[in-house]
Amino acid sequence: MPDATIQIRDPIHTFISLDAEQAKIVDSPLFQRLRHIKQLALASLIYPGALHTRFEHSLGVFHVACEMLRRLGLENSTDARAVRFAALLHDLGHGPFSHVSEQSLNMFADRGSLPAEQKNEKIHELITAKLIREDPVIIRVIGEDTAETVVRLLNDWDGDPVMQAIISGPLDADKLDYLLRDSYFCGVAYGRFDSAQLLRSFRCVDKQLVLERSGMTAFEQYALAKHYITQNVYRHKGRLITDEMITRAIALGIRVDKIPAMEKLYGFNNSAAFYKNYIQWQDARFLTEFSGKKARKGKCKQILDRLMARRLFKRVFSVDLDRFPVEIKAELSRYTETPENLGMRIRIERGVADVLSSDSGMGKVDPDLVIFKCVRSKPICDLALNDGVVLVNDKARLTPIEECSRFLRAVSKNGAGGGVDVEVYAPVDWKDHAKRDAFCDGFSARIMDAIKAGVRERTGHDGI
Amino acid sequence: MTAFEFVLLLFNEVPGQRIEGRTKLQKVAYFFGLHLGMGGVLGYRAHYYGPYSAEVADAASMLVSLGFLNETVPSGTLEGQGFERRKYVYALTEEGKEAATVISRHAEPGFINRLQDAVRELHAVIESDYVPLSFAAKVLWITKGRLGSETERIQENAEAVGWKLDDAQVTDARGFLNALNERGFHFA
Repeated sequence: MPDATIQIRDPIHTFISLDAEQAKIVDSPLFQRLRHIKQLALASLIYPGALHTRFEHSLGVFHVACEMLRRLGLENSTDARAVRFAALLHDLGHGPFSHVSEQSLNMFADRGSLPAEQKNEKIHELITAKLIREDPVIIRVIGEDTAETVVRLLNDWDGDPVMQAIISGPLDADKLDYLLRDSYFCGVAYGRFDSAQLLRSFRCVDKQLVLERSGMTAFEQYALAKHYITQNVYRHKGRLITDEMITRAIALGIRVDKIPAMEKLYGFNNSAAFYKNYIQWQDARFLTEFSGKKARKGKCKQILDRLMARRLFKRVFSVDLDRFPVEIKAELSRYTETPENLGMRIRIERGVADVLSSDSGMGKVDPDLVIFKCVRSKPICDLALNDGVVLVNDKARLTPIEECSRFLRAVSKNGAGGGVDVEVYAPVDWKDHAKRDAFCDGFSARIMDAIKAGVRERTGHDGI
Repeated sequence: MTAFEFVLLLFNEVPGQRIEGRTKLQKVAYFFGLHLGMGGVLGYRAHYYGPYSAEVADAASMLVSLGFLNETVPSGTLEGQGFERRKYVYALTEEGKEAATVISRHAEPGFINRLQDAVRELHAVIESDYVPLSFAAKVLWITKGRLGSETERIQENAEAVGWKLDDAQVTDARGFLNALNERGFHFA
């Protein structure tokens, strides 16, 4: 790495060093926009410290990628410069509230506007690629060829595998930063692991990123850290509800309130006008525009106003999918939040609203404000391996880590930790836990029946 | 169709409704996925052991978690040879069979027939051991179906993604792929 010219203080990595060209990218308006997009959306309503943004996370990923290159002895290899920029720019396409925007972009995109080979791509990844390829500052600083290499590293890399492993894989720089960073800012100890030991054990063998056996305990700790932070932060019921409330506000803003600015923001059509508009948005503008004094009155604003006042929807139903009859279980196991499944979801939400309206003492519950969700949890081992393979240099033979670790084998038996919870959130209130339990117990069987009825009552062919 | 649905339906059609070995599962899904035009959904990438799909791995473990697949490691399968030390055996459960029936109703018309035809015609994929199947998958990945490529060229390109293929492995893989081709296998 060229001489560092700038040192930035960071609570996770102490100092992050940038050279002159990296600093120019960080100073660009497109990168500075990430300062205004929170890493965990409205998780601060649950964990007040969770106000960190994509900006410092991107710097952190860059720092870890530099460390990985150094440890692997690849600092001066052909693609090292592109790897550093890929780490720095990997989140450039995030919209307001990060992953919440991803869901909405995937829901409302005009995929017909995309070439055939891109129709299955995630929209925010296409946006990131386009911005890297076309932003004038990025092109001026890193050049078109490096920009293209960065895009390939982030999407469809066919070069040296170890370079991609730094950017995307079970032990990529992204995960090595966000677990520690999210844990720190949320004020929880769940995401911590011995990152120094893990990094120290990285080697490059046969062009693969592998661990020496000395890193196995740190990896086992990393596996548990990922599991616990997922359960306690990413899948915290309050956090899931805030995400779902924003997602529903967007959906209603487009489908019911027909807010032109929202249609324009999430109606991806791959046009220059879409990108030009998209990069003008971040969290604060979203809230001002759609929930502020001048915002259009309607269901979208109603939900966002509730969020601003922290009057969150409540989880009124949460049952393991295993408790449903097999034909319902099969149908819900394939359920994803896509336009194809919208009909079934609306039927279920109407049914649940009827149940809640009939006897909850709350009057009529608006079905648009009832949210049906299937929450998937990956098995502990798969979560750690990110559905990939981590190799250990075991007596000069590369071996999948679960073959070397009795602990990982134990936690991977029969898909341990994996499954689907069927949940419903609704705008109800209760004063204490006893009332909540009485409410949920009282409605559980009827909500379950409403879900079964909504699944069974097929209107037309929900094709796949 | 999602990877989850594809893997479940594949298990429903393969003989014995079981596949032995994680590598074998990956490669079987790779060949049938390509043949049936599922490549984009399955998202295979070059991995140390050959083409590998995180989506297929995720689908298999979710099917196990839901009780649709049974995963066992029969005793005595710890290997000293090959690269897979422990053989994980996946078999469709009774509940999985019922789920496959439900999910097959959502498949586009003709898909199940095409899948059944593929399993019948390309039975060599299912019958092959995971090691040669893995070499064949690597050669297919490198050549993208252009099997006339020179062996040296294939080896060079394999080396670039960290794969080592000797002459005999390339020759055997080419023979395997040509035989599949003669039985109607679509490379892309």
